[in-house]
Amino acid sequence: MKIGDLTPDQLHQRLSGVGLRISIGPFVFHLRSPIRSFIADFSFAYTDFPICDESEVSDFRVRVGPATRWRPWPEAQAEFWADGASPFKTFPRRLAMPLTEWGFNGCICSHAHQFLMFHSAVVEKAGRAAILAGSPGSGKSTLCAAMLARGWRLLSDEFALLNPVRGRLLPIPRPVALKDDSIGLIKRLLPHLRIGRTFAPTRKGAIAHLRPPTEAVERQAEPALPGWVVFPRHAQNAETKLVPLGKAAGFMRLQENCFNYTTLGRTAFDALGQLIETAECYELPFAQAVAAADLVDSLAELQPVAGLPLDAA
Amino acid sequence: MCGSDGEESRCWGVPDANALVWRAWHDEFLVYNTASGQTHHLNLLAGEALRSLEAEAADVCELIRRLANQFEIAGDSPPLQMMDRLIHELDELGLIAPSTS
Repeated sequence: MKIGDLTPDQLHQRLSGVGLRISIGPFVFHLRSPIRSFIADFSFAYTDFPICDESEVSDFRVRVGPATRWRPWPEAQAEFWADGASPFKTFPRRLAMPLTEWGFNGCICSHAHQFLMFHSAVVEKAGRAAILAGSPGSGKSTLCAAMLARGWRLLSDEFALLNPVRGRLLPIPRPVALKDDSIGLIKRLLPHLRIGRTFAPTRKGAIAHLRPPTEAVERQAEPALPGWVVFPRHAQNAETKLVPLGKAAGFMRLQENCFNYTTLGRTAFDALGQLIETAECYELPFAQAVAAADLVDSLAELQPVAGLPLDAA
Repeated sequence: MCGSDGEESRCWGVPDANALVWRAWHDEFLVYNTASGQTHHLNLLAGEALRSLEAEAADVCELIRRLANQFEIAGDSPPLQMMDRLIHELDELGLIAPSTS
């Protein structure tokens, strides 16, 4: 059963009560929330994600609820709790969806040390993945969405999850967080995909979530081999081009994007070295996401198809 | 540079505790220091100098002699004139230490 199979009333009944265990990539999130507006936003973006059996052990227990300490706030407030801790201050209830997405990010990067984790989007074509690594504002989410328009599969908008033993990238195809001008651009590029309502203002500007393509969610257990590491950098006047990067420099750049390199130590050095050994590295300054996506797409034309068994994660 | 007593005669080596792990690509090296948990990006000269000291401790003059032989260049060629500075850098990075052996 999927989130989208439940009616709004059924969803509210479950989420405000015992909660739902939702399979998101390699993780099970146990989510509870009585906030109807949040439930509507969440179910829109996560409609294709599978609901797990209640006996399933959850990796993270999350509650998004009204602020428990009432004060004369100018507007209704909410809180995010994960495993008994609240990492954020209270926030306006209308922003519960983006805050929950950031909360999910925090859960993963604080605990999922069975993976080497990079701050990057990941897309796949013919079995090989392009890691689009960059800091906030680099344009990686916009480029990621533009790659979907070129027929690439979404593995992730936020995390590259590398199995350090097997060298595979695991999908976690959560909603793509589009910001400001890229919301309108991606609406035009991907008219067949759905974008949720716009949240503004947030600390990162206006944000809207692109619902992951159904196929990406249905194939979320299917890993990919690293093929390319691309460091996008959006600038209004940039000349859009792929600039080859040496392997040692690519290693050091990707290490900077790694959430848990220090935590994993030697394991991280070996896994990242192996990844760089097999992948080509590029810098990608760009002004237009469509032209940048064309360039990354052209890389896949030169590579043979890479097949992986479904249990290869 | 060589031939006098003092700093030049000090022997340098890689402490046993460091246990360096290497990756080499063309003329660049990455080295992971298991003691500090840090990864260092070294150019050809620095990488080969460190590999040489890891294999066997040496003073600056001996190290210059080894590298001059390896690269088939004169001992007083410009890259090797920077050896004091390189040794100092590697020391500051915690990759090498004075050796008593």
